[in-house]
Amino acid sequence: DLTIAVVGATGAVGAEFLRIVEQRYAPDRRKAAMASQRSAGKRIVVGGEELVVEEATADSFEGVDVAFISASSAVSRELAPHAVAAGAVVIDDGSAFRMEANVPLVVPEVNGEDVEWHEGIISIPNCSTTPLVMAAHPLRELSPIRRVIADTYQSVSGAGASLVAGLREQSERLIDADHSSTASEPGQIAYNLIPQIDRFMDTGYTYEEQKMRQESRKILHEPELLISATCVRVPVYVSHSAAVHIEFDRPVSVGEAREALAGMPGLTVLDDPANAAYPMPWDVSGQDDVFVGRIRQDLSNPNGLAMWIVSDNLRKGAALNSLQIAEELLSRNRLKPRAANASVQA
Amino acid sequence: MNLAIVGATGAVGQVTLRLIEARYPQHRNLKLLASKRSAGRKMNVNGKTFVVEETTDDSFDDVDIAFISVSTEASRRFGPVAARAGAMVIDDSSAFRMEQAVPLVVPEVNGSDLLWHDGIVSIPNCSTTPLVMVAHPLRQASPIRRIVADTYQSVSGAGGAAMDELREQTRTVMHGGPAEPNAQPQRIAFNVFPQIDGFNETGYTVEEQKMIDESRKILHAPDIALSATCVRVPVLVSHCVAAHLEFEQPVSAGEARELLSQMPGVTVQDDPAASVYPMPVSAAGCDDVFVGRIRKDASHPNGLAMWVVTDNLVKGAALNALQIAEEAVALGAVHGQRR
Repeated sequence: DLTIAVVGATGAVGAEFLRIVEQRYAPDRRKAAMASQRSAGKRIVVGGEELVVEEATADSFEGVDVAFISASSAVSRELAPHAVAAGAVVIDDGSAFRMEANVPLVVPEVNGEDVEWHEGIISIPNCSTTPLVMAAHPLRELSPIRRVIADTYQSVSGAGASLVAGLREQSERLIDADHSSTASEPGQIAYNLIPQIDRFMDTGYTYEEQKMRQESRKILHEPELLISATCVRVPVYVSHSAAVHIEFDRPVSVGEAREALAGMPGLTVLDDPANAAYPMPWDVSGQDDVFVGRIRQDLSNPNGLAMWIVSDNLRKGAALNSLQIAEELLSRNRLKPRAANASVQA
Repeated sequence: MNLAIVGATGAVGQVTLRLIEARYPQHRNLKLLASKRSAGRKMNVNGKTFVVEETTDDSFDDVDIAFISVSTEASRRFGPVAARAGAMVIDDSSAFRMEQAVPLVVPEVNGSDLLWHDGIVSIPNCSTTPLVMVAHPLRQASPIRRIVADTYQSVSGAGGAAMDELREQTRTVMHGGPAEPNAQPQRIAFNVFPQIDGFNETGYTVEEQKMIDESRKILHAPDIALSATCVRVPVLVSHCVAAHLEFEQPVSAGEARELLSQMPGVTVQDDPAASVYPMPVSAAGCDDVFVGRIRKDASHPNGLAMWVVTDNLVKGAALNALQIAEEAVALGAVHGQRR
């Protein structure tokens, strides 16, 4: 009987989290919904019960078992330590703690065992990382992965409410605009593509592309894994897609790959080109699984496979993964954190 | 020169006429040809009213250059007919591209190939052109061993009906209705799908195989290893490519930028600090191929990654065709080896 706090309850991911909790659990868990001061006082309904959203502060975590945070990095950094001090396990959806040495970065079907060594905070990966590692994990059991090239097609819900609203507003207003000439407006995402997600680094890569690289290495326990990503925003509301090219140490057949992927929990193979069956945002949105299709031998590399991976970025990319971590903690009896400087315990 | 435009009422045909007006405002020796359905329509080009005629076997007498951009079937039907009538055919379809006797040309890359035409010259697929335009100057730094290209292709690549469909579906979806695909295999509004053209037994689509085969032919580099994933996105105009090139030797981003900026028909837009990079809406209506996000590939010591964008109807089709005509005229090669 857990007390769950959701920080960022009024955001897209927070809302999805509450929806999933409702779908999976009887509505008699006590829940506390928290958000920024701006949203405090709003009423949301969870499990047929109306909750009043409170402002999230340092004192909000008394009696909370699991605090799920999906807000800005600044909010995570400010509140997480207080939640831990109050005895909660924090499952954080932001980038604040992901690469810290004492913070597990977890996708349960891939490295669920990493929750064992948490010290109060567990991070979930970026929404573009999760689908990639979900596919890479069963495949690397066939042969070590040498190199990954991933080009993404990321939906606007990954960027928050204002870009979602922007897409809606622009899509309607610009329907009949003359698209044959350069009459664009700043920040236009409707009928456009933006090859920048997050800020740029000195290497010319964006932080989003860097996250895919660093986080995949950490989750897969492959610190030398070679990955190059190009992350692009597309005018889609929900679900991220990626064209992925994987190079192995040896040739891996399509049949082998399909079988390994089909055996992976949380992953569905949707690969029937003859019937035009492959994953797409429109079908994947609202589903729990990561979907993989267009699996084929890479014509440019005898040790390579190419494929297409789609997942709902709010669900497996964030909220569902978080809830699954809570479930993993429960099943491993790791809800109370170990002391950081553990000595022999009775 | 007497010019015939077969497919004058289509998306590419319309851009062709617009470009002719921009580049040759006095030119009125034009024949506008289309299907029976479109015949009779009136169009104004360079101040003269033309009546669109139905394309027949007799349409090409006295035509010097015939641009064809309709469908593969129409090209097969009328290409050889026009060539036999003495016209130089510049064809935008896949009908003849890989034939040995047919040059496949992007003038800035392999313009001299049109010297050996035997009546028909093909222009490449709209997703191939941007790729070869950047690959060509870069291989001066070091031969290219391998290219991985993932595309983001606009609906205009599938014709005017597909553009209308994106607009209609957007309207319907925004008001809560369903979006039924007709012109395309899948719904496109607020969706992306990884299928352009039909599938081969390799699991690649015909579009992806075109990029592979055509790039090798245009670059005269049959040994370049190539892989592509071609994806349709809800954009009206302009195609984009996330390209990963692997060279024989390491090539720096600076070197690459230098070579690309010297390439005619290519413009470098690469200033991350100022969020400057190519995008569909900024490339639309422009002649050039735009390239940005140029960086050393973190996954390969000899690799570069970049983002390439071009208006698929302009450099991807109509402009490339016009440039071939211009090159042929300049080289005295319009009537090729046949006279």
